[in-house]
Amino acid sequence: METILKVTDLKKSYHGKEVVSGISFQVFKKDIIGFIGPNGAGKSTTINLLTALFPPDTGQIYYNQEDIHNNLKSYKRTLGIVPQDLAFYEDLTAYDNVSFFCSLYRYRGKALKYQVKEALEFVGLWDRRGDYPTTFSGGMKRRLNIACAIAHSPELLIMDEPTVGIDPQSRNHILETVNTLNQRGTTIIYISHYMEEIETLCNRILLMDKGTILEDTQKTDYKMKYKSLGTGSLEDIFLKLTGTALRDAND
Amino acid sequence: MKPIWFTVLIMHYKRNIHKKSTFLITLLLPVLAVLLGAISGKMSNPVYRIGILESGHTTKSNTLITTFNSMEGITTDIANAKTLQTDIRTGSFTAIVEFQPDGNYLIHSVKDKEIVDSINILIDSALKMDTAKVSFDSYSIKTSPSSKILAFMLMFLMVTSTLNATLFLKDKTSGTFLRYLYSSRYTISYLLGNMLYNFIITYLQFFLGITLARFLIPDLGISYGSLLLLGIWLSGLAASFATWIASMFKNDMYANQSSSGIVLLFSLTGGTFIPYPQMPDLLQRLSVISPIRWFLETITSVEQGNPGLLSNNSLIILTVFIAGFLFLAVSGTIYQKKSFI
Amino acid sequence: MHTFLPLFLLGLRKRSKDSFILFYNILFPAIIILLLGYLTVKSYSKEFTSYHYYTLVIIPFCALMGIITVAYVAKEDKLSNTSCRLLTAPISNAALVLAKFLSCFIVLALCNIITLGLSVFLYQLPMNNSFVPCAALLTMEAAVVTGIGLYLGYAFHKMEALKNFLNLPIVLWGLFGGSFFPIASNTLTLTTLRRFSPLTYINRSIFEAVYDNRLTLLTFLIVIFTLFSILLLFLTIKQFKKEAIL
Repeated sequence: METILKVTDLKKSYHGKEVVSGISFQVFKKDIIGFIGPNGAGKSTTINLLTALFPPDTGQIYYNQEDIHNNLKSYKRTLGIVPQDLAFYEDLTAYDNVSFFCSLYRYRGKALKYQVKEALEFVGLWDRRGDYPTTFSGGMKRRLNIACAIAHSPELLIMDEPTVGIDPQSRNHILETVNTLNQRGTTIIYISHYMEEIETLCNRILLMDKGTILEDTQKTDYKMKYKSLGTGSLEDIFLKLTGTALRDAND
Repeated sequence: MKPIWFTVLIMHYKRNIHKKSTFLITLLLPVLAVLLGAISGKMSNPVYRIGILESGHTTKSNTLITTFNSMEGITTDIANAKTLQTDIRTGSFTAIVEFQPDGNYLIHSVKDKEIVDSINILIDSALKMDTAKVSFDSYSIKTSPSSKILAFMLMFLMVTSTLNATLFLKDKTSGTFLRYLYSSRYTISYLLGNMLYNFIITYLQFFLGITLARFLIPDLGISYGSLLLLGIWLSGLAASFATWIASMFKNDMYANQSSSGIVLLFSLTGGTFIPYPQMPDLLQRLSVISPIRWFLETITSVEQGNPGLLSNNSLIILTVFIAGFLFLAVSGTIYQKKSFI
Repeated sequence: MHTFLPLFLLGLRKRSKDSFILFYNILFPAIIILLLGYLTVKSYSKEFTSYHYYTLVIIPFCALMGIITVAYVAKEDKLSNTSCRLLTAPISNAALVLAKFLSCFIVLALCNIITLGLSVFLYQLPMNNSFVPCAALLTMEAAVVTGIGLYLGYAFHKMEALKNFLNLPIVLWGLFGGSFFPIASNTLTLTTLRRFSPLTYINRSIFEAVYDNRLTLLTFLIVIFTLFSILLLFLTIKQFKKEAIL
């Protein structure tokens, strides 16, 4: 299995509090990693470090054996982000939104048009390409959010709760989209609190809590490992490992 | 049971009080308005500034300089021939006198004929060593210090009130106002609470500003008690105007910039810069829509010692304006309800 | 260059379609000129009308108000939640800031020139040889305005508190610069206060160019504005804070 992303001993503190405490893990090509953890576990901070939004206090992140900070632009070109909050311009049409964000990754002319068409068709919004997002339903907005992230054909896609607040049909469509992307070669880090999505999509589980990685394993091994706890569902395992107490901290 | 508008008022107070530094700066801002009003009063004091061209620096020009500088309402200085046209147009000089070799003089000015004729008479008198008095009665109506200061304060407070009222903008965009609407309470209660919070802050600002004004200019022409009473209408007007602006827009920038623009238009048509009697007929008629005009009329009425402040017509019109802005705010918000849901 | 161009084109498109910016930089000054001109028409002669005066002083004043508009433009990505996309894309800070700068600068400068042109035509201002130099000054004023606005929006983390008070110094500058009525420096206080207003110098340079055929002050101001706007651009790029738009 080819390692495309390697994280070693990553640490990050905010206001004197260690939010990410020396985590290490690897991401293999064509993985769909379910990145799970309670609120305040450090997932968003980890994602911010992976996307080079902020530098770590210590530790390294390697992409294809090269430190990402040595050639940040090159690394960012391979990355796609689907943020939790809808991130597009309300006063641009769907087509213009996707076209703009794709053009930031060096696509021009015919190649750009092709990528935009592909992305919008992929999420099922090609027919609505000339419409403004204000006229879209919640599900359509989520799909547009994804289209903006995949238009430049990223090798590594990070999806932060992409199915929040949408109906089962739209969610099903998005999950199918994720699968298809993966089959086409995209490695995906998928963050979600919906364990049934993790169950359906992911081949690997990365469980984080209180700034540390509790589990980094194949999904099947993960379930086998905790079979002795008397439960087979991911949600039950999650609750057993992280506890049922409320987590009120910001992630 | 507390009325809803009171609950909303307390909620707004709690939201702002923890930002202590911003709160304090906002409270002290009208001090600037008072200083501005006082300075503006001095700047617009009519005075003739006569320039004398350097090249014409003769005995006559010396006589003129000496005579004019000892007179009230007129000052002289040496003018530069290279920037003559600029100086008379930018107000650096009301007129520039150029002495000719034959002893005559030429007056350069862009002012109207009446002013140029007056200056001509003054120069003639000064050169003949006759006594002449500068009179501005024919073209200048002076605005009292209290009018200037209160007009500037109203202008400032209408803009700064909008900043306070943008809390409502945040509530509209964040969804918290939508929560309020789900509670089946009336829109007017919420807006009233917003407006009353704004009113209290604005009145506090006014109080600080007007107290400073009393120290700077002891003889304001109106008693301190009357000023504090007028402050109620001033603050009410500013707060209701701000609430209306906040109800119209979803965007901070649009609200603040529009507020500045509308207030400027109200000020220009209301008599802040040019007294109402000096305005052209059309603008005098247009000024009825400016609440600032009615506020200035109230001040004038109080200065003239007219009895019965509370039955003053201008004050009644101001009250109608306050109610009108609030009504527009409620109507606008109800109309926009669809965009929240 | 690859990322600069789409950013710049998007910015240009957004600014030129923004009806608020167009209203506030073309229509609003025109209304104020008309209003003030009409208010004070009796105080001027036929050769030099009140409209002439207010055309030359109001346009620079309204141009200065653009600082607030540009500061908000710098925050637009934060408001639309698209800043995370821009920050995670392979875009340098320089490209982001420069694209925003140029798109705002071009639109604001064009608005100033259009307003000047319209007013010259409507009120028959005798600007023949001085139109181009004055347009150049207003263009560089737009550059400084854009520079200040972007610096406040991108590099100044207290922008949220400051934006509430930005209008006030600009109105004060307008007052002391003679934008509302011509003022002379009668007292030491006034003379000192007038010196602090950039509009004192801008207005004077325009009048000197139009009525005295003197371009010294105007040229000097153009050079100063050019250097200042470049400095502001450089500072904004250097001190760009991700937190300002996240």
